[in-house]
Amino acid sequence: MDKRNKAAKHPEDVILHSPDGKVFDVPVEGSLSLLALGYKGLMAWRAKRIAAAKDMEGHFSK
Amino acid sequence: MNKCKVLVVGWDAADWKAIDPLMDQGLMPNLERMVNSGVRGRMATLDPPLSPMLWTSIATGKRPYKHGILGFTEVGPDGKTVRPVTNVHRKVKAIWNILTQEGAKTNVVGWWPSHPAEPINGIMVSNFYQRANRPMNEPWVMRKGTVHPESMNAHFGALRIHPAELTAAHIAPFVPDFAKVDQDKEKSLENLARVIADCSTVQAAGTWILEHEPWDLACIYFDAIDHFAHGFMKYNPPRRDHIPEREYELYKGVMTAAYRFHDLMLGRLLELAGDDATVMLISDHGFHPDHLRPKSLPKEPAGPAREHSPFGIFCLKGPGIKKDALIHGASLLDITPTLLTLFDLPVARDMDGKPLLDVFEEPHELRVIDSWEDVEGECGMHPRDAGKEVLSEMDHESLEQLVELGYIDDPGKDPDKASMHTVRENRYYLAKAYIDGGKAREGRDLLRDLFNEAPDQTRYGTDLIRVLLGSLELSEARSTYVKVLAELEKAHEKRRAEQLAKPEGADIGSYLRDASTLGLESALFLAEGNTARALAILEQLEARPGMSEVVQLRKGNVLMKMDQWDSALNAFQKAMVHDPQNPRALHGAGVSEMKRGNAEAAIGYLHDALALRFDMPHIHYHLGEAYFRLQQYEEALQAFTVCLRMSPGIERARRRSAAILEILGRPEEAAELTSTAHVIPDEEVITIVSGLPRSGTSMMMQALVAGGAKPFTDEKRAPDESNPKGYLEHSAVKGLAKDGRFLALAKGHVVKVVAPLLPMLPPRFRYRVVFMDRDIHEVLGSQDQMLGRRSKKGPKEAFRMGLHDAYQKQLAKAETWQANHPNVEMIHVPYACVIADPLTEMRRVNELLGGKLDPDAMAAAVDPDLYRTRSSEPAN
Repeated sequence: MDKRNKAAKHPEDVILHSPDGKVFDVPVEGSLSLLALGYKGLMAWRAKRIAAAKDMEGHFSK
Repeated sequence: MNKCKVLVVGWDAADWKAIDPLMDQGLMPNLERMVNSGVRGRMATLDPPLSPMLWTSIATGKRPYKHGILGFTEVGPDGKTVRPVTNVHRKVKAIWNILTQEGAKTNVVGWWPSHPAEPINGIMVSNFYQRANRPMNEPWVMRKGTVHPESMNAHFGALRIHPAELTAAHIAPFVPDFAKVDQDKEKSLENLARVIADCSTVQAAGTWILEHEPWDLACIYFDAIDHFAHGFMKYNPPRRDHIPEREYELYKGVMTAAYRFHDLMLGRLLELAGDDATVMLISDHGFHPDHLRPKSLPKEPAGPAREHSPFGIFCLKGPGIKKDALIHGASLLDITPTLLTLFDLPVARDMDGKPLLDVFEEPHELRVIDSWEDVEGECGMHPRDAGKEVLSEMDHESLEQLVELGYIDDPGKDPDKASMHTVRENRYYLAKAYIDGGKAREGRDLLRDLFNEAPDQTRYGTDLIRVLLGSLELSEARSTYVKVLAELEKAHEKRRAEQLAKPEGADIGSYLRDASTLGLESALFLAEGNTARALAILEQLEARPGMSEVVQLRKGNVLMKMDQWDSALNAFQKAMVHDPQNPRALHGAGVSEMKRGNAEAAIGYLHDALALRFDMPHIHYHLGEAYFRLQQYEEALQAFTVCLRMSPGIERARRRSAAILEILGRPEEAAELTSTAHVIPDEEVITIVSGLPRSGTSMMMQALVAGGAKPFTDEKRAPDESNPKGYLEHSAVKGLAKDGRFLALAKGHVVKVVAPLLPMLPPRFRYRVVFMDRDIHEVLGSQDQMLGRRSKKGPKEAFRMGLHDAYQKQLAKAETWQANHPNVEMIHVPYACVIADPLTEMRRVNELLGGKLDPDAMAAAVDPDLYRTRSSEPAN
């Protein structure tokens, strides 16, 4: 359990770490494992989607 | 109260038969670790196996007729709106209310039914939380009452996952070839996504609570396995002939994926709970994953429940809990008593379950109170008139899922009809719950009313027949069967006409009785003592394709009645090939082996039966008998002791135990066992009024009834000149020699049984006998007069002298019977004394019967004018 995320209130605040301590790269399409992780996986996935949408927006606005 | 943390995880419909092969393949590593570090066992469900009733029994330790939740739907406060069942009709405290009273923090997520959320000491998120009731582009409003405290509504609202949010990455593990599904035509992927989203929402709320909130007890309930299974278990390997190959290939992996997903979620919950927490994983019933899956379901409400298996799962791990151990005989009623024991709180006597003490490493001291309902203090239950405002806003979508699952019929647009159906259906479930809880009489009365009201619902009739057979009310069982047949024929002819009316409709032919109807007819013949007809029907049924396995259990029971032990064993063994986990087949095989002289083989079968249903006292009794035959007295004594603990009225077990104690050189214990008659509440005791015919038994019955006793009578024998105040008899008593099971319904009542039939009374009940003594010449004289009154030829030809000796022998036999049966208390009441001084005699009788009757009223009911035949007078 990553205590750093305990106070996270917004999806973008959540960062997932793999057991070896590295930041876990959340797939934008999500996964069952993320859902099984509960609220934290959900927030991390939503954060990734928001970020991806922003990227996309930026890409098209260029 | 013991300070500990307990997490209860509910997996609706989880079944070890589906889980074990997956664990063996390493596909459920989190559950496997939990099993290895704790205890596991099967958990017997209740009938009817309908989840809202069952989860409420789990949370209260009480049967549905006590807790009041009776089906999937209920009628709203307007008396017309049908809505999904809520918790407002729950009449008793759930575990979270008890713990709230004790000051503990309890959090509950998704429990069915838990809407509107109760104001407990902690967070409650109701079962209406997770269901998306609007398209994703529309606001997904949280219903009022979904979360307690209400201030957290918005927070939990944000943790919900809409099915439309899911992607192919979530669907592919369930249906790898999902692209082959034409989503315009098939709803399977949509349904799948909805179930995944629902349970992920529960997981999101549950994990947040575990991580952020204090808790002593947390209960998190997932209904997804049940929903996955109702949709897709039919495609689980191996493929059966009636399953189309295409669908099989598409959906064969859904159930495996569903269980693996739940294992992943469990892993996270275990991690958040921490090693110091006690974790319990349970299901309310199982779900057949194998050849016992039905090929078709009856078109009736709750028909899909036929797919449920009678055993759910139980797994528990934590500090002080045994490791890698098995427990036997758990029932879902035991969960709340076990949770109370974990918290070192007393178990209530009014709960129907027992704490599972076998799970603990160290012996646990048990504390008991009469009821938690009487304990004062704020417990977080809704007030009696709660929820009217909250619940009136429920929308149609909430019902849709239940309709889609087949659990309820579409209520339709006519509110009066819909509410009537709901009320009737819930009465039906109440009747079944009564029967399951041993309250056959209440169940029978309800079924009788239901079948009268709606004879086209033949399931009411067939269930009524079954309960009537159990109480040996055979004439009503037969007449009900005739009515059921007529209704079935009527329905068939209607279908036939509809078919013929179609342009290319073929004639479906005349009505043919189906297997279940024939099985019922066989049971009817068996109860009527016509074993040959009963067997013939089963053999006819056995010859039908695919029916051989199904009838074997019934056949075994018939053959046991015929003392054909080899054939009975053979039938039970065939039944076990079909269903190796059928406790009745195992029990039957055990008894058959014992009767064949193979006590060792019998012990094997009986132990296997007890591993499935530890709560059946007769299996323990037969196990004791088998050990007794092998002279393994310690083991026999243990089995009889368990039997007596469960059912103190089984006097055979008491006598055997006493005999064993004598053999083992423990005469004091034997004497104590025999002398200390078990104190049984009055409602468990059957009062018998007995004596020779015409010895004043009817007079005593009338007196007892006047004093407040409840008569067990069918009023078939009308009053006449010989007995102008009525006989107060029950016709079933005449069949005592064949079967005395009907006496289960006579507990707490007074029954008239003539002296010659006393030795036929089954020893498993407790009796208090009021025996009328009357001068034998007066008896004969009175009989003579009675017969004479009936005989056109006059009294002289009715009188037979040989009866004098016969009656004296019968009186002696009754005395011997009483002397040999410690379950019988008897008082002799001289008829002449009753006439001379009724009050004194009635006081004496009242004393034997527990002192709760009114002796004055009893005495007033004695009519000395009916003392018409005295010994000083000529007999005729």
